[in-house]
Amino acid sequence: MKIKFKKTNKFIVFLVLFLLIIICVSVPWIKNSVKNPIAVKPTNRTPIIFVPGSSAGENRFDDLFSLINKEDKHSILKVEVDTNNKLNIKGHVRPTDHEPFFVIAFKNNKDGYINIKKQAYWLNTAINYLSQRYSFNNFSFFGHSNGGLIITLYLEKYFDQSKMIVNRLMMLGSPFNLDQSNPDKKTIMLQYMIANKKRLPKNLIVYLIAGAKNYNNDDLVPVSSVYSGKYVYQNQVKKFTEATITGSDAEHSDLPQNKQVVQLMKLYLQINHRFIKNSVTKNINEQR
Amino acid sequence: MVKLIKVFCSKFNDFIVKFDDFNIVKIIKRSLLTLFPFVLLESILDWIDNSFLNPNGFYYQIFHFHLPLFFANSLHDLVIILNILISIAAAYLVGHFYIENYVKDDFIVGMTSVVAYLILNYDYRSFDNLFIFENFGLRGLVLAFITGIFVGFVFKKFVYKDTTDVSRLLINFQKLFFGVFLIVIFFIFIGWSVSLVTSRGILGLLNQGLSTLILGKNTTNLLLIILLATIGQLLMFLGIYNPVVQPRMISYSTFTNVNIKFIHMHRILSGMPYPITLHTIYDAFGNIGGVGGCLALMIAILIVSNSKREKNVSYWGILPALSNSANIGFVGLPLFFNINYILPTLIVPIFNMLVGASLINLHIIPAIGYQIPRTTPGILQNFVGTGGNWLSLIFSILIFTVDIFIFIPFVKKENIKYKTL
Repeated sequence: MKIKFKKTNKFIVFLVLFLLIIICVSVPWIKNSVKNPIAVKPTNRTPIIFVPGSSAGENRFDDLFSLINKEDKHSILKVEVDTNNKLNIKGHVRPTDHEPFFVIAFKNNKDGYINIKKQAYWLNTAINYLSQRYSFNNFSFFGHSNGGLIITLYLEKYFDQSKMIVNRLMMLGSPFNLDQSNPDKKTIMLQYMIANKKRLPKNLIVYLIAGAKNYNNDDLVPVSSVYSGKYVYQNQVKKFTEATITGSDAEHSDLPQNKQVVQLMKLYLQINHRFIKNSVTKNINEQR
Repeated sequence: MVKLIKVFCSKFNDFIVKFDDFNIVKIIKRSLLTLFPFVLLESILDWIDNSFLNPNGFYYQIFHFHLPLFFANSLHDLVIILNILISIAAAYLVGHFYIENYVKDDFIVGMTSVVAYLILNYDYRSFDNLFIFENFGLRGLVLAFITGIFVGFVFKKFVYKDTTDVSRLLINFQKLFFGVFLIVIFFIFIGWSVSLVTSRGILGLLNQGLSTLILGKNTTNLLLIILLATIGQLLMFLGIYNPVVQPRMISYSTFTNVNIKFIHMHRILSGMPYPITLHTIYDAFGNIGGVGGCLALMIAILIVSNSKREKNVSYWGILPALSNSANIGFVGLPLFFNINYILPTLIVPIFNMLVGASLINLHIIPAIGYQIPRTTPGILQNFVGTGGNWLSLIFSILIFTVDIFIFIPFVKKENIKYKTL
């Protein structure tokens, strides 16, 4: 009887010691997780935000969506930002949808640096509202034409890295040097972007796609203007890739519904990919 | 008042004796004890997998283990295999023990139960001849019990109706065939009809329904939260998976999301929009004594029990119970269908949650807001969730000590039972 009693006591002492060790070890870990905001987990919902280019509305990507939604249904929400910061929202998001598509278009969708600056501000308003309303803190971007420029300005000027995470960014025929085909003559906008490139998120993965009808342009935007994006992104973000697409449907306005682009987009923005991974881990977790 | 309590106590004691005498309860307890070695192995492997090898595990994160994924994957496969074995064995044992009271040397009922359980969990929707593996393991225990008892009952009513005190060799094989045929057809019908509604089988239907019933009411009302947690605890007593102890589900409620967002913006815990939710109350306080107070009970057993068996179970089960895996206690002691311990396992979480809610409401300690890994010990969940608030840790330890003292009289009562044996 006496021996048994001793054994129990020893075990309880061992348990208390074990707990003490755990507490001591976990204190720095806890302090770190409190200090480091990125240690807060990204939300399960990772939307993809689409931004159309100049003189294109919220329906710009409808053909693209019908191509993607053949496999897996993503809910589509279209937002149009008025010039007085008011949002017109169409469509709804399924509560279980982890990867909804948000289109953010602007009532004033004119070209030009002054308008692009304004549009970046409106984009900020819309994203702040959407992240609150549909509870997400990480997302990916897809920008066509001037949309890519708006996104770049937004990331440099308004994006708060302590609150949100941008996973991936894909731009399609975005004229970083506007109409200027000579990369040595940089426009004011490009100069501004290069000056502020330090503010871009370090963990961003960027793909820049140019369309080409001939060796110089896609009937509208010079290829060299698109590739001027490298002065902004290269060696600044985690990964930066440039590519050119040729063949049929490679005109500037046909690019979003180009089948090659759709394939690249699925690959680069990992559409459906995360969903599959999630559902597998979910099953495993539930078995546990 | 004292008289009333005394009357209640004696009534409850009578009920305990009666409940333990139920045939079904005896059968289930016996099956659980037979199953225990497998469950022990499964639980320990599962514990290692979840808390040491899984990137979301508590020990993985604080000790920075970075073993190759190969270990975690193979261990996980092993756990799934053991889970399948446990469910099948449970169905077999319950069916076998049920019919043993009427007919000696009969194995066909157990085997038919196994077949019935497998048929029930066949994935009718998939093209690959799969079973619904989610429904195997300890979470499928209640289904295995029901299947075994049902099959035993059918055989008793239809096959061994007129036989008295005979061995199975003398029974006409046509009768046995009739019984098996009846069961197979019936269970195929049930499984197939359920597959029309859901892809997760009958158990998935039950669990999904219960979790939407219990967690669907997303509330900040303290009484409702306590009621929901208590219902969950009662479900656990019956061997049904308790939706409240699935931290994944709780931590994704709307209120918790809002809280996380608040902390994200302000980096401060005080003034959180929803200090009282199922997550901040149940996870941080109801769970202090382990799942269903299992950890506190095990320590109480180590201190006062004179049953060597229960003590040994506690030695094995304490570290997994520290990581919120109470399976060893629930099958080994056992706590399933154990009416002796039902009262304290209900009281302890309620007491903890009440104390915790008052501490939060009096602004003595903040509510938890930071994310907690799944396998964090119950005592430390407050400490981790408040980002290292020492007062929370001290209160958790105090509450845990009280929990142990609540369990001690009940363990002593068990001691009397063992003495009379």
